[in-house]
Amino acid sequence: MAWPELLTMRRDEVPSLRRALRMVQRSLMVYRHSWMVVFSGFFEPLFYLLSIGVGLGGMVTDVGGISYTAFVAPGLLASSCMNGAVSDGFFNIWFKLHYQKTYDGILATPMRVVDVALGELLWALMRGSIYATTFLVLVAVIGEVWGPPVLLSPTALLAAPAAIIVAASFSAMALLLTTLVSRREQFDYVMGLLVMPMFLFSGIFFPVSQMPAVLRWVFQLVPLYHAVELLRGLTTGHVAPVLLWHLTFLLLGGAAAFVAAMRRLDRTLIK
Amino acid sequence: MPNALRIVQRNALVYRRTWRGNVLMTVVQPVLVLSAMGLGVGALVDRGGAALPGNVPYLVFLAPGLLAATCMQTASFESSFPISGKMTWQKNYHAIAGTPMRIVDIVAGELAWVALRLLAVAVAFTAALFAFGAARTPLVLAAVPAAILTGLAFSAPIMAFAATLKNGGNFNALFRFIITPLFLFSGVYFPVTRLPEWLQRAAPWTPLYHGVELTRGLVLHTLTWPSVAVHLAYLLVMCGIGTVAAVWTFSGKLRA
Repeated sequence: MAWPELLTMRRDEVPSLRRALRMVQRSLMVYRHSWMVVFSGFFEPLFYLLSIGVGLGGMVTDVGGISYTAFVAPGLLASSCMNGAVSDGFFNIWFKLHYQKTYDGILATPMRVVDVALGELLWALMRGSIYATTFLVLVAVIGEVWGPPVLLSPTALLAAPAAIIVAASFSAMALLLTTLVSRREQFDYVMGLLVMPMFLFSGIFFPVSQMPAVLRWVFQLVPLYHAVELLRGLTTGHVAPVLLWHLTFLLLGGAAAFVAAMRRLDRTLIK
Repeated sequence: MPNALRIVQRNALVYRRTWRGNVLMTVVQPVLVLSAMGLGVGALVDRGGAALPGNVPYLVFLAPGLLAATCMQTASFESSFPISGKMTWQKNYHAIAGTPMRIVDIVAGELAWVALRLLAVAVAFTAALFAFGAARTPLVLAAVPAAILTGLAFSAPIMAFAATLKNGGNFNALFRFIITPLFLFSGVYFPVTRLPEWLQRAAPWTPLYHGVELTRGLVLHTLTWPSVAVHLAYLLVMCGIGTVAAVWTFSGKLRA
């Protein structure tokens, strides 16, 4: 397959926003009854920040001139975007696809696979955006009340839209992953070989510069690394042209994943 | 063969289909976590020179606590979705209850299966402890049963809870508001003495604290006998009460 074909979509592969919003409407109705799932999502990064950022951070002197709390917080924001994408864009959609057969019913209407996929993506993105903004507000407060300040520069305001881009990019990648995993047993591989290594080694908890130089090139291919660097640059005010490279990677990676996911969904899921 | 072992046999037969990914996860997880948090973050902590119990490097402090906490997580997961699924979606227990198996056998069998899984997790983790040089004496092996007990103390009450849920269950609140906070604030990543005053006083009432103290104490030789007795008693009582509760909730569902 040639590259141009990979990056262009046929007309029947282009989703309709109007139909996609019907999926968002459905999600809103469903989650009215399980609001706890949405609500509890706020707390995960917050608990991590208080434990690792503040508790463990008390035993760490500065990292690259900033407090450990301020170092970890943007990383946790990035990882919560990834975790949200994995649980919403991957686990949830996968189960709806293979067990609950939710989509079978929906596809009997004028909705097409691509509309459903875009709708689910928009929903994941909405949740991710709310989490990201709330987290930023909360860390600002925590920084003032308990620990060293976390948002060190006015550019931290840009971290909110940046986090939304990160969430969108990860959601598209998660959707592509959904189309690649066909059996439940493969979840262990996804978590053990993809999600967990990214979470631990993308520079959230310690600078990647501590790792062997050989790995530096490998990191340029890791989406979470780009997300962490982008958000950290903005919250700490270390704004440099390299942030544009991180942003570009996430935008292009997300777009490519989206196109590939649409194509795979349309080809493989309609039987 | 005792009836409870039939459950273990059944689960083992199912496991034969899925073991590859699971074993990979069991072996890879301790290596990844110890490299990132033990070596990576450890380098930052040791540079800071904060005093840890026994004046050990951060990796040596962290590893036994993580062993206990990992057993908690594995046990909690294995006792939630799978149990609830077999009770509601798949209705395995309803079928089993129609055989000479008693409810006690089912609960005991499921606990024995979780114990086996925990054994694998604890052994893999302890092997990683040796590989990372965090194990100083062969007495470290005593940490294996301590970690398994920690896991079972969570397994029994969670099974009891899982059996009561409808429709495969929603464990969000359990994991987000109980398991994750315990994992983060029970002294695994930093000594509980660094917590705010009120949390410090609450810690000895929570289960993972005892599991972590017991496991870490065995690895670092910092235990006194009275404290061993307290930790063991807490975990055993939790395990016992949980088991009784599980038999009760399973009966409620299966005898209806």
